[in-house]
This record gives sequence, structure tokens and C-alpha cells, in this order.
Amino acid sequence: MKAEWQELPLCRQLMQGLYPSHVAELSQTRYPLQMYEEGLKKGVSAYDYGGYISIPEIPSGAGVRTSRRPDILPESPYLRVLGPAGGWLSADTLERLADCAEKYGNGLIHLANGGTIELYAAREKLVPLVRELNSFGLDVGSTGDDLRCLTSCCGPARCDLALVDAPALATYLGQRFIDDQQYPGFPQKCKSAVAGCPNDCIRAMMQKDHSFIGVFRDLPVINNEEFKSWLAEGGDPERLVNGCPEKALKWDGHELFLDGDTCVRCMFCINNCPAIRPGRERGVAWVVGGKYGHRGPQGPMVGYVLVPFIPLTGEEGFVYLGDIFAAFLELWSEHGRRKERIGDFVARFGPRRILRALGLKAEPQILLWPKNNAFANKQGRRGGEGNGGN
Amino acid sequence: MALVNLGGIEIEVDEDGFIQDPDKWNEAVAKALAQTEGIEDLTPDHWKVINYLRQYYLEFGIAPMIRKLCKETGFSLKQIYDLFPSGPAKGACKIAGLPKPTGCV
Repeated sequence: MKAEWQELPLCRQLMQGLYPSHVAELSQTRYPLQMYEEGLKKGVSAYDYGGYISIPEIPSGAGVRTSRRPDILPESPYLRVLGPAGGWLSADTLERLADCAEKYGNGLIHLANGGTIELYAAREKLVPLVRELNSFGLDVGSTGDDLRCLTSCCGPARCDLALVDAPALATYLGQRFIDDQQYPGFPQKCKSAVAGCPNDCIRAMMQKDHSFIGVFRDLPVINNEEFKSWLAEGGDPERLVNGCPEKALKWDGHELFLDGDTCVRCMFCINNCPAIRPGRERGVAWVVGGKYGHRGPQGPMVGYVLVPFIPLTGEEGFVYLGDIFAAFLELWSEHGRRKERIGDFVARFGPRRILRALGLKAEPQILLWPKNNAFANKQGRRGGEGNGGN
Repeated sequence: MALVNLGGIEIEVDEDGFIQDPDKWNEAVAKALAQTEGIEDLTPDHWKVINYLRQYYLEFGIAPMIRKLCKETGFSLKQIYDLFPSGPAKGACKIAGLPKPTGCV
């Protein structure tokens, strides 16, 4: 007997070649490839709008994709599993997840870019699926107008530049706000993330409605001894000095100097030279209102820096950040309009009014935003070519 | 649309069981709608939520936002889900005889 994909010419085409094929993966599961083939044939997906279904016992419900071809597939419900901060999963957990996907779902696991893991299963299988997930320490949520899964970068667990323990903070916030992730009650969704340093590898500032980004307040530390050995190994000081977007670095041929007044802590020199390390006075910048979505009056927005520096020391620091986050969510719930994302709310309500309502003082601290030039590590030529980077 | 007998009167409901004519709602209808949601007995706590939703709807013509519902009734969102397992919109609003709320609740 021929496999399903062999009957589907367009899907078959997408399985050819050496590069890993998504259709090859789909074809090994019970995903209805016919639906995909129909979409490829007509140029319009056979799936229709998405929505949510409410299921007693799962307050956040499940997501669902409706179908334009109910004869092939009536609907496709899915559950979002809250992914651990940092995005790590042990092989053991993955095996258990795989067992769940085989037993209750269609054998497919989707690592979604919102930090969650999506499993596709029929409505009647959802509650037993959640019970089994709970049995090995995973839970579901992140659906509807609630707080979405807290994501973070890998932080100090795998990165030398981490200024704050991003996964630890994300886990703390995730545990503290678990009800908000499972009981939708906000005007709109609120995506949230913690980035360990201003490099913001997880794009929290651009993508998330709410983020804490690790920053440092003092100056980058230059180790001139190490700088010399970096030079001896072929490091290019000209490139480093010219690459600084604010021209804060000076090199006299022997030693490297930093002009503290012009430095904006953009991370360029730190990323490009191992002899320059971040300062020791560390904390987080509180950024709200980023979104890529085109809906809403403002369209896509970069996050607004509500507070440029909040010192972060140990467990008490986490509790304080949780407190102001809770106060902010309460303010948004109170004053936000129906279906108003945080970015649109901040633009309408006004950041100063938000700071006043939260009892925070707006004061010019060290910087207005953690990184002001997206091209800073392209050899200083804004928008030009370059082989720099992190 | 289908006609069903709720609390002794014939009422038109949509595919999710929301009644189409809010004026036909009464306490007997609420009890019958609660049965369809698997709620056997409507306690005073249930009625507190239902009456608030009803009152708000008659005044403003829409369902209140969830946070407002919690604040005014004094229940947490979790308690509302305990009272109405389908949630505030698909459970509580249905029993209070409100039309199906729009949005993804």
C-alpha cells in the first residue's frame, strides 16, 4: 500500500532534497497531509480562522483551528504546554511528551516560538492529556486573554554575558503568576519575557508586551592586560574604536580608554572584545508594550522603557519585580479597553500617568533605552556591510 | 437555531445554547440553563454572579469585562471558574441569559 504522501504530488515535491523537510516530519505522524495539499493546490490554506474552545476543568481552554474542508478534518484543537524558562527540555521529558503526543494526539509536537509546546489532540482527549502532563510536572495555559508563557534567554546557565539570572526570574514570575496564565481575565493577551542582557537575543523588547531586560549601570570594565593579549592574538583595535556607535572608545596605540559620559552601554565593545566586560552594578530595565502585531491603532511597536534601571539583588529583588508587575497588570486590566494590547494602552494612557499610578518616580537614570542602534555591531557603518556580530 | 424547552417555555437558542431573546429569561430558565452546563444547584454565590451580569447587561447592553465582574462580586477569577466550570463567558453569561459574548473567552 502506498503511503499517503505518495498520492500527493505537491507534498511529495516538498520532501525532496537534502535539507530537512517539514513534510517529511508531518508525513510520519497522523497529521492530515491532504489538508496541506489542498492549500498548496488552491493557494489558500484549507485551515480557517483560529479561536478558543472552553473546556470545563481546563480554565484557559484549548486553541482550535477551524477547517474549510470539514470532510477531511472537522477541526484541529491544540493545547499549549507551558515551556520551562530558557527553553530547555531533558531527553526524558521529551520522551514523555512524545508518548503523550502519540497516545492522545496525532503524534506531532510543535515547538512554538512563544515558548510553549503545542500538542494537537481531539476535544475528548484534552482532559486526560492534561492529567498525564501534570503527572510529570508540566502544565498547560497561555491561551486566550491571559498572561502568556514566561520565556527567557538561557542566562548564566549557558552564557558569559548574562547580567541577571533570566531563567530564574522567569521561573519565579511564572510560578507566582500561574493563575493569570491559566485563567484568562485580561483585556488582551500579555506576552512576557526576561532577557539576560541588552543584546536581547530573545527579542523581548520588540516582541513582548512586557519584559525585564538585564542592564548594568556603571561602566564597562576594560582589562588592559587582557586587551594586550587580545591584540597579540590579532584583535583589531581600529575596528573596535570605530565600531562604537557613540565613539566613546579611544586607543592611543598602547592603552584603551573609555569616555564614561558618552557610553550608552550598547554592548558593542563587550561583544567584540573579551578584554571588555560588563560593569558590576546590575539590574533590569522595565520595558512594556512591544508587539509585532499589525492590529490595534499603533501597529507594530518597540517596547517603551518604563524604568531604565531597577537594582536586582537576590530573592527580594525578584519579589519587588513581581509586585510592580502585578500592579502594572492590575492597572492595565482596570483601564485597558477590550482587546487593547499593552503597547496601545501605554500609547493612549501615557507612560507618565502609568508611572504616577504605580507610585514610581520618572527620573533620568543611566540611559533612555538599553540599545539605541540596531546596527551597532556592523563595524559602525549604520546599515552598511560588516562581519561583526555576537 | 433550535427551539428548546427551558423552565417550561419554548426558547430559541443558538448552536452553543445561548438564548436568543434575553427578555424571555427568568429564574426558571436560569435553572434549566444551569442544568445544561452541568450545575445541579444554583447557590446564593451563583445568583450573586448571575444577578450582577443581568443587571449590568440591562443597563449597558453588553457583558462586563471579567476583572470588573470579579471586583464587583468579590470573587476571584478562580472562584468564578469553580462556580461556573465553562468560565465567566460561556458559563455564567449563558445562565444569566446574555447573548453569546464576542471575543475569545
